[in-house]
Amino acid sequence: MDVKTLRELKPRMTSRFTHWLDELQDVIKQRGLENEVQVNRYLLGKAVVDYFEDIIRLKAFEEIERCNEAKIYGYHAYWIMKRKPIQILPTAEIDAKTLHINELACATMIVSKMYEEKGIDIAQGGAELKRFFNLLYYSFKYREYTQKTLEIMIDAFFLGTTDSQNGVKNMG
Amino acid sequence: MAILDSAQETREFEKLLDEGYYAHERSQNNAEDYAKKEDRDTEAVHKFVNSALFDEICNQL
Repeated sequence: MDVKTLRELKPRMTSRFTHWLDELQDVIKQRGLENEVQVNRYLLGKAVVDYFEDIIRLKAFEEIERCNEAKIYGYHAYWIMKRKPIQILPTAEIDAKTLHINELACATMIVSKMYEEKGIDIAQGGAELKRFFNLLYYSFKYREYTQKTLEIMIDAFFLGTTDSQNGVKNMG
Repeated sequence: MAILDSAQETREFEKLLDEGYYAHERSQNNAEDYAKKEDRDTEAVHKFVNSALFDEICNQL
């Protein structure tokens, strides 16, 4: 990314950094891990820059002005997990709660934003949501993924909820 | 390449490439400015993280 583009994007990148930081810290606080992990601001900043570079390249190549939400959420999660801004403190135990905290945060952010985008109250989510969340978290920990596969997963969710809202029944 | 032997074939090939590759993205390009949704999404994460459902999910992980 050239300096001119960086300067133009600075307000957006600053805003995005602040929002992502808030979201990560929310997860850390809820899990009671404030004394065991912390957000490394340099790594988070790197994730933000990498995200914008990736998106800018994509927009230039595809000649599009704005990305849809599936891309935004997918690329966001990818770069957070790639850079792992939540770091375990030297004095903390490495255990199941701390080891995959970045993956947990990304699963949390993706799921809540997908539901919000479709106007569905996530608090009403039942066994299926729990199963899906579990699978997503497992996939982030142990399976391979790219920003593009995350995008298509999110888009499939949007399609399913749109069809459901339109009363489209399962044809199978 | 035989497909590019004539100017017309070249144009047809380019059109095929354009329809297959770029047109999909452009056809999806009705996105709003995401900057307008940042606050909404961060609030959505906050609400979910502080819900009983998130507690249940994390306890089962």
